Amino acid sequence: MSKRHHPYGIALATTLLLVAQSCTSSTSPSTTQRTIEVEAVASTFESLEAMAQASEIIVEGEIIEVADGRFQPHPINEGEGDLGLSLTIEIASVLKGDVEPGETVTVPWAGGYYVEPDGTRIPLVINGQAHPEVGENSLWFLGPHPDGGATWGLVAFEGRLLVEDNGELALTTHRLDSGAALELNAMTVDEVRQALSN
Amino acid sequence: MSDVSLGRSTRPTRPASFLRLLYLAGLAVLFALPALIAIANPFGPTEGCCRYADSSTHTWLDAAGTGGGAAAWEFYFEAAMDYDLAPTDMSEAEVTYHNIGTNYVDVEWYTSSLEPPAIGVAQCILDVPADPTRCNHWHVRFNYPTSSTATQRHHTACHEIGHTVGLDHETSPTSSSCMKSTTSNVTFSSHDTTVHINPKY
Repeated sequence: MSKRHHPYGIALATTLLLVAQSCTSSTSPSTTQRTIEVEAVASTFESLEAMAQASEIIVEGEIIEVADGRFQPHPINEGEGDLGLSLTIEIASVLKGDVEPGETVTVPWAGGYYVEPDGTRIPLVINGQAHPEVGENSLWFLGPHPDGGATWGLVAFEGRLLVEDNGELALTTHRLDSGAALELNAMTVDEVRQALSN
Repeated sequence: MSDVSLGRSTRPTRPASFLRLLYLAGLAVLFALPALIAIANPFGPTEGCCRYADSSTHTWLDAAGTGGGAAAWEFYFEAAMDYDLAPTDMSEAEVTYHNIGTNYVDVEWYTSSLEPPAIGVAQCILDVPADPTRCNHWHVRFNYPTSSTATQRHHTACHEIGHTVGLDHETSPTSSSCMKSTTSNVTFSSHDTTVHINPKY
């Protein structure tokens, strides 16, 4: 006698699976496919030298954690607002400043999510820059942040540069009208280090 | 006759062909020139960053209230609307509503604690459903710790308002547009107005 699945059993299993799935999604915020492009005004620098002077620390490192950052509520609509990201970067090498390889720094990131009243998160793409991700290896030009301690602020959007596998730097911003951005694009970390030591 | 005919078909036609080519090349340059100029300052979502406004009347709401450094930005936001945008073919109007049904105010500005290095941001929160090249509702936020100078605030207000009508960044080194990143520029250029804003709105 062949063993047959009972149709009610299949329906029950499917229902349980759907319920379990909906329970899972209700505990974590949903994120849409849509993105919101953000155009930001920020300081720009005429040269690498000027941006380096404005930076208290310049470090190469790997992002080891991306967490929710500061929430900025909308002034009228309750529950709505902008949520930043908080990046933890493990320092691999130091080009400037009083920090050591192996230490971690926290960098708040302005482009996180736009949160709708129902909790839906829409990713913000600020000046063309995709969300930083865990594992990203980059060079950071950082200055003091109001939070102090190990929290540092980016001095300019062109102050975050991806370090490619071949060691070359790649801009993450679409704003190319700064001398520092044009100078840094396609330099290597070692070339930047050498330029800063001159 | 045949010699003349032969002559017409050979030597005399060379200058004519050359002139025709020159004429066509001139025409091509003439037609391409606005496009080449526009590359320096793209306009609209297909060639640049930003969606067009949804109408020629740009409504705006001061949602900043009185706290959070609002006063430091209010003057410059209103100045940018009154003295930068209003002289174009667009008109501007302050309103007191956030939305009436699906009719949202075009630009809602307020102050916020922006993470460094942002001084001001513009983001299209809601497209026009039937036409995603246009934005129904923009948020413009300014960093409320008022470490910025008066000129930076005027520049930032003009720049963000420019994004809300579709203007992208200006990269021409000779331009005086507030769409450049140079913070000393506080008004739209004649290029912004005559090539982009006025023909569109």
